[in-house]
Amino acid sequence: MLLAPVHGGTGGSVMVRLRRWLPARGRQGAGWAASAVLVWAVAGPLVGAFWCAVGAWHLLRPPPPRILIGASAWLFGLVPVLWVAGNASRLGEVSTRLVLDNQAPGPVAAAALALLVTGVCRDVRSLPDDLAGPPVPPGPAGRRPGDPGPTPDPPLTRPDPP
Amino acid sequence: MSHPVDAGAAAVPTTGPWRPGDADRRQDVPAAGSPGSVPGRPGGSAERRLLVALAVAALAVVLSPAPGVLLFDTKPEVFLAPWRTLAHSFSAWQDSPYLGGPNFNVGLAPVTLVTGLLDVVGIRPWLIARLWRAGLVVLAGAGARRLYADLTAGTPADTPTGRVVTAVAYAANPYLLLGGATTPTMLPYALLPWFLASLRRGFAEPRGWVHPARAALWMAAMTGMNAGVVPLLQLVALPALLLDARIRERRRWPHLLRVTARALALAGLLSLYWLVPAITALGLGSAIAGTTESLSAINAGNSAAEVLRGLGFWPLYGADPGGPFLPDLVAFVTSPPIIVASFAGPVAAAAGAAVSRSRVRLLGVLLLAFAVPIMVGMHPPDAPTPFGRLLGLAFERVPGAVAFRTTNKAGAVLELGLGLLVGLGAAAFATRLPGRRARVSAGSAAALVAALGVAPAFGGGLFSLRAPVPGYWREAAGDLDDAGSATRVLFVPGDVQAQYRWGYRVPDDLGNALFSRPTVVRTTVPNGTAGSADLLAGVDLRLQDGDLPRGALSALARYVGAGDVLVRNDVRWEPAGGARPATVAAAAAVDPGLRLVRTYGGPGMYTAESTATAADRADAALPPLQRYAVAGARPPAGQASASGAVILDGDGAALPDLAAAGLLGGDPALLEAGALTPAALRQALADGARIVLTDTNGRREWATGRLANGTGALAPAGTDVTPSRVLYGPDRQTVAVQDGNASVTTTGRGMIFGPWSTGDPLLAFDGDVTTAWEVGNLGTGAGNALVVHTRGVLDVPQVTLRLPAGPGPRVSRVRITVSGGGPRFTREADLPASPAEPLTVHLGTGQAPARGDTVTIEILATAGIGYGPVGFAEVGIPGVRVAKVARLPVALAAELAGLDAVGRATLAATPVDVLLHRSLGAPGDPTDDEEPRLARDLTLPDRRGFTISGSVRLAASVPDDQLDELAASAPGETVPPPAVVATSSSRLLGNPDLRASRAVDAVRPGVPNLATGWRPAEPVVGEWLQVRFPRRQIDHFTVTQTGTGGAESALATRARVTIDGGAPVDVTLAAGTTRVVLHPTIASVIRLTLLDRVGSGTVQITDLGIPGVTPVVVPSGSPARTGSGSAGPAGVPGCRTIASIDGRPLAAAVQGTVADLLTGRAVPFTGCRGASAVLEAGSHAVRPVADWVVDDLDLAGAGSAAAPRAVRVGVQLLSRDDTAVTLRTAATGTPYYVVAGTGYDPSWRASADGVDLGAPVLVDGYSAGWRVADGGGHVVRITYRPQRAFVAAAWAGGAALLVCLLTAAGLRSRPRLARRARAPDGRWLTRLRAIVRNRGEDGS
Repeated sequence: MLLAPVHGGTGGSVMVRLRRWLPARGRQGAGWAASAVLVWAVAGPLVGAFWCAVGAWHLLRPPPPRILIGASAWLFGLVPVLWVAGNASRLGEVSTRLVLDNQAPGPVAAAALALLVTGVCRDVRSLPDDLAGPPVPPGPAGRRPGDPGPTPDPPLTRPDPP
Repeated sequence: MSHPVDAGAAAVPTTGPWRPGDADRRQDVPAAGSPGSVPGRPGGSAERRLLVALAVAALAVVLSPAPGVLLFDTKPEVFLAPWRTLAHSFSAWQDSPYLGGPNFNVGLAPVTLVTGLLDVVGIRPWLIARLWRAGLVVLAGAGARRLYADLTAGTPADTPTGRVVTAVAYAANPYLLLGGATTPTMLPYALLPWFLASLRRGFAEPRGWVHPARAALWMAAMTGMNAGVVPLLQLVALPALLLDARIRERRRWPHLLRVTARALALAGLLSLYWLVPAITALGLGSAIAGTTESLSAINAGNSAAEVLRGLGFWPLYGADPGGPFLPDLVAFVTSPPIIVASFAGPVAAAAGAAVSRSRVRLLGVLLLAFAVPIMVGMHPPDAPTPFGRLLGLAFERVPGAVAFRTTNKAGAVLELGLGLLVGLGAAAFATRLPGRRARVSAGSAAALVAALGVAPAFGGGLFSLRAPVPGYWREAAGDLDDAGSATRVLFVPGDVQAQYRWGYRVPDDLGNALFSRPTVVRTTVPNGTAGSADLLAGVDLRLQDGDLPRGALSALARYVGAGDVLVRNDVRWEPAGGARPATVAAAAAVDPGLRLVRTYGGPGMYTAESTATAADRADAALPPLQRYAVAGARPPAGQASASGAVILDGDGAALPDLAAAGLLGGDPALLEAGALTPAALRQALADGARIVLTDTNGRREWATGRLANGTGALAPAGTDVTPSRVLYGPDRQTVAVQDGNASVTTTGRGMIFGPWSTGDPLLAFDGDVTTAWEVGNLGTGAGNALVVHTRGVLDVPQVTLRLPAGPGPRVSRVRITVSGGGPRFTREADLPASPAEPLTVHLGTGQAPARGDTVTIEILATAGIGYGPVGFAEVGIPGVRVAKVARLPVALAAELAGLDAVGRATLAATPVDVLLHRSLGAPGDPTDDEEPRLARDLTLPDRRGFTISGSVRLAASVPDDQLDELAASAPGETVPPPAVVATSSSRLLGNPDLRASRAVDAVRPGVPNLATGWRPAEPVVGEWLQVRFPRRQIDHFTVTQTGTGGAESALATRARVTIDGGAPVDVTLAAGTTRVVLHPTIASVIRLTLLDRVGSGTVQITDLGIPGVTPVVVPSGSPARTGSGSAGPAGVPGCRTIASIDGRPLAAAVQGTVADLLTGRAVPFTGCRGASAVLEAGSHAVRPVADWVVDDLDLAGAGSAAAPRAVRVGVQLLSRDDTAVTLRTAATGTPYYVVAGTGYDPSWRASADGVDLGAPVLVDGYSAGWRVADGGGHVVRITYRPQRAFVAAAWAGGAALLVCLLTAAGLRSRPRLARRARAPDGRWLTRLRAIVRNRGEDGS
């Protein structure tokens, strides 16, 4: 799981045994399934379905965590657009219909938050302690700000289970 | 590697690898200088200057709107009377203004201490409120900065940019304008980062107590306002903090949990002073929560999107006829630029997470991950997520959990997460910018977006509450305070929340803020005890309905210990549908127990919005405040004789009826039968009490948003009527039962925003077309259904449906299903638009009618414009008879029937009276016709003879021609001659004075009376006026109207003329007189059916002129044409059957005048020729008759008039405060009740000369009281028991505070100190030296 301790901890032996017992891909799948259930439980079926897709994506070809964070930022940016566009006919009105009759922004925001949490958790886990040193200077041409930069994701190159 | 850093970060040692815990070790040194500064890397001068500038800017924003006006964010008394509020805060019971109740706001004390200190130095209240708010904003920003600095210490993210941006993001966001805009939320919001920072420091020193103590102090400083809901909700940040420390810093769980447990335990100790009373007040808090905002309302706006932009708090999306609930903040949902900017927080946070590489981001997202699901809660309310459903279950089933239902209050956690991410992003982004100019540009752009996101703050949106208190209010408060503090001041009318026309709209009224004397006010939310809320509501509802008997207001004042009544004519009554000021003022003016002492303010000051109508002008003629003195007033605590006490079968709502019936002479102690134990009941009877059976304590739902028409229909036992003022169990309540051979239920959504009394389906079966079952407002009519269950299978050949009169939408299509008796039969039908045309739907196939025991009439479609309800005025099913009856409480009669021989002998000597009152509703309000007729089932304990009296009026359904016959019996009444008969399809509100003959009358022969006229019921279209006259030739007639088609002056514009039932002709009508030309014909009947109308108001046909026939007049003194007896010159002749009892006619002598009856008023009656009725023990049925409507029916039992008179004796009040009363009673020689004069609660205890008087009883409808059997004089000490626990808790909390302060100061923290303190020599001086030396070594 994303938040499982990397070193030590009381759960270490349990995790080790689990890892021996379950094949890696199975573990990942189970982890994503569990996270999808969690997301469905707190954010509803739409976001739960979206999270299943994110899980499948990870199982097939795990994206770098910063892609998730970037996607989260774009989705958050989409939310006000959906809000205004979805309420174009109601603008000026003060009513709960602004929210209840325009439900698109909610799931999008929830999905963005899920991506942000997952992306940051994975990114933080991928950073060695001493990598929290100086911020990465602007990258070479062609590299977008915010990309991992010259430091590779190892030592954790395997796809993180959720 | 080197990297650019800001000047302020130049001192940060950036060389060498940073290790988790480094920063913590550095931070372990007590901070010096500014709260956020960390030794070794204090904020640079530029940063300091910027922070100071930001603080000044915050102060300027807070100070700028409406200087001199008190803008505030919590109870007004916190700023207007802080010391008085502080004094009252230190008690577990609060007496004012709801007649007493457990105090769940003890946590207000620390806040009032601060505002009090500001008051002492002479700062004006308005400025105190501004400084308080500005201080909280700055404190919040400083806390966020400190947490950020702690988290990033020693990392590249620890830059001035990051710190400042985090502070700004946390202290300036939409949440602080909405969910966090009140002190109970804002104070915990401001202190949350401080709490988390202290706790986090403790993780680095798991064995120490310093940081847990500091964290506890911060937590306790959040106070327990509103039962500490917000600080407790904010604890959702703890899992995030713990996980972050575990994952990112690899702290050990035992250490983390130990530190957290220590901090929470200490915080619990420090908070005992408010926790103990809050637990005591759990019941009251739950009752309030159950009647205020509903879960569906709370969760309508808090989608994830709204929550993440800091909004989602339900009032933002609410509006009423007075406008939006939060007009200063509507830009958040109406202005696209501000809407977009308000999303800057989550967008910037995600962007910041993308730009930054700091591991601290973990805490930011964890805070969001925990906060957002909680804040989204049960959204959307009609289909919540599984987690939302779980929350809903918890709110419903876990005691006290409902207090946490507004989960939006966890917003501090969300904003802190966003602030950290934004700050981290800004710190990283700043390093990538090429130069100072770029940084300034980027900073300016960000500041602009941030400012736009909180733009409403610059227009005064920081404060939702205003109190521009007019001078006349202060003058009145001064006068009333000067009059003495022994009695209370009763505010009338009651309110949903205080709402004055001068701009005050606040849940808390002005009583505690402006008055030293305790005040009493009724609010629709039951803020006091159940009995208090019930008593005040029962009287206020009838005041708001315009149905309060004379003397009832002063009676209430005397019973609640009010010496003065303050009539408030400056309230905004419109939003909650309350009584107009003129109605309330009139009720006070005619009360014989009230004397007008003084008025305050000039006529018309804030008493009316306009002078457009006569009613407006009546309001405008009033002063804003009127002070009445109460005759016979006495202090709340007192002594009442047990002899003559009233055992009331019902509840406090019976007070007006008791006053009207003259049963409150001497102000007898009121004992509610439902609150008496069998032993206490027997004792009360033996003491000489009397019994009064009433139809009060009705089982009905109450509306918390309405004043008049404030209840739903009377409900059967077993139905849920939450929220309600009803007391005790169903057998102690008046409940609805269905009389007849069928029962009627409904399915579907019913009425939105109910309850409404017209939601009663039996109104469609009462045979009265002026009443209707209404359902499906706001366009939700389709899908609702009436279901009739017959007591056996019967043939249903047809169903007749009639629509209600009135404008707005209507049912246009129905599906009728007959089932339960063979083949299921279904038929759909369209309904005519006109209410005057009933629709008969034939059911069955061929010659065989449908057959079954269940008939379902489902609404398939509606038509018409508007959001009003639809429904049916009448539903007719052959062979089905069903009527609604109110069954009075039955438990008392059962108890009395079980008395032993001695008890029955006592009962036989006890007067028993029965008071029945029809729920009249608000006059003129067609939605408030719950009970058009009085039908009751009552149970008597034994055989009694009763004298009958009451009041009665003509039924709305009496046909016009019968009214004319009655009018003809009275000289002076204008009626047509017998040969001319005027009839109509309806009268507006059934008013007899608006009958058909008013359109053919004359002031003198040949001159029509244009001051009178026929007014049809709304919506007018389809209603008809018909005149039958001696057969003659006519070639034209005239129609005269006074309306013009404008506002308040409607005009019928088209009509259909039918002569002798022949072919109809449509004609156009104009304002004034319209001449309708006919082919010359010989005729005897003209019918005019109205087809169209324009304008608002009502249509009035003032004259229908038929040449040679009308207008007509009967001169005064014409012979009577009806009635068998004689009466006075204008009296109603003879005995009239006005009701039936057990099927036998109840003959009454109607004592009013015909004129009164014909104007729709109720008149008194007595038993015919003084006859009395003898009723056996057991159940009796009081039923209505067709032509008369009984408003009140009083059955005075034999011996009632000669019953012992109660006596109230003055007591010597020795001392009184919120939780204790000491008084000296007078010796009377007979048993008496000591009345505490404050709300009943079983925790009240009393002792007489040190002897315990036992558990209290409910006396006077609201108060705790005790029976003193020996009748002697005593010193009676009355105390509220939980106060002891509160005092003990306060002392324990005080001790804990001292310990925490010492510990937090570091005196007991360090292991070395502890070791030295345990030095073997053990001498105190050595230990002190060790402490001093130790502190010196630490450099602190």
